[in-house]
Amino acid sequence: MLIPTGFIGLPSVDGCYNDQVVMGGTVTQLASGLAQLSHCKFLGEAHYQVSHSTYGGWSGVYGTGSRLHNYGVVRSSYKAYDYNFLYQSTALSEKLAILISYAGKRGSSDPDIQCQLRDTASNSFTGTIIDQGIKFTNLSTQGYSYAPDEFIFSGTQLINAPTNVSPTVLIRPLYVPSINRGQLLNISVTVNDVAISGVHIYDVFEVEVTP
Amino acid sequence: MSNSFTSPPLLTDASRVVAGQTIRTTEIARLADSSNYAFAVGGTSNILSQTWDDSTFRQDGTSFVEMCQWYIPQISSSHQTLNIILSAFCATAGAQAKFNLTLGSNTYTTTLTITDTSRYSSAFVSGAINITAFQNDFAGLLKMEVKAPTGGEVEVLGVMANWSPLTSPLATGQHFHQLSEYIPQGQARLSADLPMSSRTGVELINNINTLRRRPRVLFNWSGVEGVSSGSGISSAGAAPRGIATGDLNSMFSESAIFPGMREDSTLDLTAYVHVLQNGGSYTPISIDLLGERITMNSTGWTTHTLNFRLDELPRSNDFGLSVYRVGPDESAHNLTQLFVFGVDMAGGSGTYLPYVAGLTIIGV
Repeated sequence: MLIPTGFIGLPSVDGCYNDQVVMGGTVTQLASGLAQLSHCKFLGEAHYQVSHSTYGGWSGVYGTGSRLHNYGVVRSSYKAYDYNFLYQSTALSEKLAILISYAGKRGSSDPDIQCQLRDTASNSFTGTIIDQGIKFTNLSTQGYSYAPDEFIFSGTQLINAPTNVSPTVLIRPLYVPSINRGQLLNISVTVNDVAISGVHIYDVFEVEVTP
Repeated sequence: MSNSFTSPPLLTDASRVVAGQTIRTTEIARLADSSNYAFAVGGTSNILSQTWDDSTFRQDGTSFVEMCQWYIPQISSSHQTLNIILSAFCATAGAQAKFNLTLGSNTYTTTLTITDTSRYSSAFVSGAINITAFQNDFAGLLKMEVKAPTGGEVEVLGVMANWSPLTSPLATGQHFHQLSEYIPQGQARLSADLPMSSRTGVELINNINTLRRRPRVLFNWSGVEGVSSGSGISSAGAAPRGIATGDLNSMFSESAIFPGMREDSTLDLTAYVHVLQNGGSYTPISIDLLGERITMNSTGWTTHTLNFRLDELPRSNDFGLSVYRVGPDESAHNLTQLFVFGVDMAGGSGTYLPYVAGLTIIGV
């Protein structure tokens, strides 16, 4: 069945009173309204802003505490550099789309961003990898340590359970095995020559589902 | 079982309930199932998500220092456990973070003891704020305080929060979200040998309307006040305190806002804006949010209802949903209003300016 994406008008409560015909239009609208809630509105999402030090070349004059220019600073330490973004999934979290804002620096090797999906057993940052994930390599870059923020997106392809054994450059959403849906998950992000300023995680909306 | 639901929910096939089809109890029972599921689980994903880079958010004070604030929506009166997860470390044992959630006139607290000793070395810490009284608010203020042990310095890497979903079956009786009520649907009353009462239809319609009003967090960010580090400012302790000009091209969410909101006056977007000024007389600051200019007439937190006036983003095609930029607009007005220096915040040049120290945007 098709999942509505908007708040479609509901029937009047009068239409459910005694002596009214309810099967047909009225019950169909109720079914659509509930499907919109569970399979659209209440899909999970998480929006991480990644704050960096505001110390920079202007700090001697302007102080710190605010970001005055729209350039991300790619520090020399951003090599095989990890972040962990925790995501409370739901029973309907099957594919997770990832949107990242970043600044990249072009050096001797191409910068990249890897995203893997881990469980969080025992609150561990290094839980079992449940999707080997993806590796963004086609990043916009500058030849300097300062670069404007750009965005890169995993897309929302309706994939089946992946079989790659290391992060793939064939970009796709992350896949949550059925046993892990509803659990707290860890999107483990590793960057090389990239400063990330935001990571956004979405349950992928599916237009049509089988009831 | 009464008021039960399955997870994932069982959907009613809309094509099975059109005129000409056999009336089956399956479809009606599934209406109740998915309604109960949506009430129990809907909106229990992340409502707070924020990360700080290495050497940014530090505290070496040995008494609790209030450092961050966010608004957190209450999704119903029955969701009473707020899970808090903290990624942080301190080389010396004994660092703590305290979270205070104020709902109405009550404040609920949990204190977490930080166990990691280096960046992402082992495990995050988690706890729960338990709401012990009946609370029926739209949102509450969550504050985070941090303290280090003597001789130590704690560094915070990230914080995340979500409401615990309810388990099946739902408790009997009414549940509330402000003035809206939700009445669980008992499966036993929808059996094949029972009449489909008027009550069933009326309650389902009211329940759907209640759940449409349930808030979703689209954007949540707090600056960090009171940072203190033994390291030099060039290497640690220069966390962002306010949203500034340089943030505008990336500090936003791309979030779905669902069609049909405009036709229902009870479905709103709400912004909570935290403005600070550390001295001098206050001149109101205004910023552009979702195509609308809002003015904060006082410091502290102010609340604003937004009538978003934005175009959809091209990524709507990927999502299959109407997706918008949710956050401070990259407008000429904001580029001017948010051009605030660190010395202006601190008054180092003799001038204090107001700055946006926190922003929460809640949709439906």
